[in-house]
Amino acid sequence: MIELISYLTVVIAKDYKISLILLTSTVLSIAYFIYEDASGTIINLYTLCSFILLILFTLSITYRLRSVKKGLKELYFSLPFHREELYLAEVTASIIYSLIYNLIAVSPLLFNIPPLDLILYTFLPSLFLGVTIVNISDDRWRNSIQWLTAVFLLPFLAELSIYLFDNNVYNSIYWIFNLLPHEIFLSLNQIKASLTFLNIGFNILTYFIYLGLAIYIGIYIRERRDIL
Amino acid sequence: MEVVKLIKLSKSIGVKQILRNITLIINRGDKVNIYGEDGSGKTTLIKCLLDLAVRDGGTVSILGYDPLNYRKEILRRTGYIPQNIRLKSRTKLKDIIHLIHTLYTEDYRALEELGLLGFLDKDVRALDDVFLTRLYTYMVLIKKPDLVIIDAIDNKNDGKSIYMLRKYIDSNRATLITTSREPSRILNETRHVLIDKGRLYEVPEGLA
Repeated sequence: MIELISYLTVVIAKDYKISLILLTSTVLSIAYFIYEDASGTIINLYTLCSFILLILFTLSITYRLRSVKKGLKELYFSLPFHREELYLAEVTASIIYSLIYNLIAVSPLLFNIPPLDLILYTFLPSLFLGVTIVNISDDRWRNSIQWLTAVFLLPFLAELSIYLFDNNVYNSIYWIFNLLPHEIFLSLNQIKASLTFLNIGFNILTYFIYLGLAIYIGIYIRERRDIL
Repeated sequence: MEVVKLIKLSKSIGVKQILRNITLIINRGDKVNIYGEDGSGKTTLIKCLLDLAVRDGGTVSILGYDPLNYRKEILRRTGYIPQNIRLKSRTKLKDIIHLIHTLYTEDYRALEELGLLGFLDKDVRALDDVFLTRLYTYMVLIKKPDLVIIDAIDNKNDGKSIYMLRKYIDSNRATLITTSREPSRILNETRHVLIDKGRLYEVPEGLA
């Protein structure tokens, strides 16, 4: 598996455009961290640049992975690996790159940012990671829909629940909860308390949970299908 | 020793039944050619042997392993040249060779004999079928496999690859399975099996 990931990495890294974007993103990201305490203008400038470049980077990687996977399909699936290993290698390779993006994008969570930014910083990485995973899976629409469900619906519900319990939305629909049986109402209140306590930690935890589920569901489905 | 053992193997794609209760036993050192028209199920049969396609029913044993659970072990000991050898990714030949070397051993002598050394920096998309056949041949040879499977051997028109494969199979008493549209003796196949509408028919030597 390590050989397979290293192979994918080598093939991808040999693309000079991707390497260039990676290099620029890294430089800008470092600059972003260095200037985090400087004026707001500098932070925003570097954040914006990093964001755009990382989006380009992730898209390029997605395109490249897809090209490698499709173009070398006969060879790739003839390699002496178990199916699970092949799928995990694909997903892991995409995650390695997406993590670079996520790491930088989610890092502002550490600095008390407003809720809107929270959505941006948690959803965008999820979106790009999702797109990456879906794109490297095969083309069958059923698979894609299941992957999309796993990748997008779960975080969406998780995010929605956080905002229901943790923000003003909760107060505006408070009367709905009053209609619920007392035990459920109490449980919901307990969940709310936990969520408030866990706060951002929960976001990140949810992110990893749905990621795990997405991978599991994807592999489970594809285990039972023809691969060539 | 039974290298391949298929008992009542069946496979459908959509509503079409491709393989119908196929039973076939291939012993060590056998050189089998499975031939039949396009769409008769040759490639699907090969894919079921290597877990590239999932069978619907029956039992399959390759080198003593069931491909569904022991894909890795089977592919490690099986050299396989697929029907479609075109590579469409923007990847240099040396990157593919590098991958092969991380999985198996290096054999620059074989690379030289196959005439691939001069093309290492070339994009694999630019390689013609002759050199792609040689690349796959190299992948087969470097594995030192017990079983060699070549799908659509009648499309692999490269004398050098055929010569080296024949030499390897004969000197190592490897088991060989080839498929083709017409009966083939390109790799000195001695046993011919006709596949027609998903069923296998053993053809006596001399009639194929």
